[in-house]
Amino acid sequence: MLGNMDMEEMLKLLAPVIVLQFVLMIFCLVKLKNDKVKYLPKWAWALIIIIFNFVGPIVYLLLGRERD
Amino acid sequence: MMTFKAYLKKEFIEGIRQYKYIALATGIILFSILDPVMLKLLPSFVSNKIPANLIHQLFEFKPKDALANYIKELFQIGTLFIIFTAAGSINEEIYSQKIVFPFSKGANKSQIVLAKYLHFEIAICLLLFVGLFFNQYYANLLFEGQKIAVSDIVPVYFLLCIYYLFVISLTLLLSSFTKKNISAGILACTASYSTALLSQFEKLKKFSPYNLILLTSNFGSQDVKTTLVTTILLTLIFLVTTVFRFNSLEVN
Repeated sequence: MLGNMDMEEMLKLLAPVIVLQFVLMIFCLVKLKNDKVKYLPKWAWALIIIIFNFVGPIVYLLLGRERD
Repeated sequence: MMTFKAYLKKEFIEGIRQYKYIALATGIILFSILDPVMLKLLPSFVSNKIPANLIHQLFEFKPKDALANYIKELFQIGTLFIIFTAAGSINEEIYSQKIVFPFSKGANKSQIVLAKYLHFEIAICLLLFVGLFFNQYYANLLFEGQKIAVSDIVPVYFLLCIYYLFVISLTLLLSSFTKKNISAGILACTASYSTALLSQFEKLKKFSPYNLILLTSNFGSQDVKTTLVTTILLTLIFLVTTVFRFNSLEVN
């Protein structure tokens, strides 16, 4: 319980954001498995994708992938 | 004209293949949902640290406060996403030698730059529209007080579009002067955030493109002419310079 808002209400509010973050994270981890990477090793990119919500996956997509 | 259409189509395909739209959509739309929700939850998060009567005074937000907060976040973090998505556009063409084939087929370099610019322009304008729509919906849903009307959103939308078109032209220009997209991105971020510093000086404020962001927070109630003209002029100058710079670069 937080203030006058219970956990269920909070989850309902945050649901779209949580779903977006989860989908983006899974998508990037699957891409990471198949991609060639640059600047950092794969395990470091995986950590960045998992730890930094939203920013991590996008940084990986924009900077971490070796282009064909 | 055929070259332009072909190159524009190529930009859209490349945007999908390189996940540029996912990055842009995250940067623009995410905060439109996240901001009103976080503002709504803020009093709950700090309820143990601040007396209840103070919470009521400090965190009484109205729908328009949520919109203003979204615009601020968009400038602070969304700009980063937009800049780093566009940062490699010009230099990658040159240094990864992707431009050689279309150029040898007679592609017009000016049209290539314009196609890149137009592609980002269309994507950002569409995403800003969706972002503002989501923000209006969530802000009106979560907060009590005067609701945000469509007539409030329209001037905000146009001012934001013009500001981000300036940011894209600046990023493409810097991309044509650098070899790596990270360098172009850092330079473009520095230049974009510097416009916010310019607006600290009262005399220079109306000439700073960042003033468009300040004006959107006030829902365009003040005079915007000077800032609009300056921003559009700067955008055109940056675009023309990028075309000249791209034309002068040697393609191997």
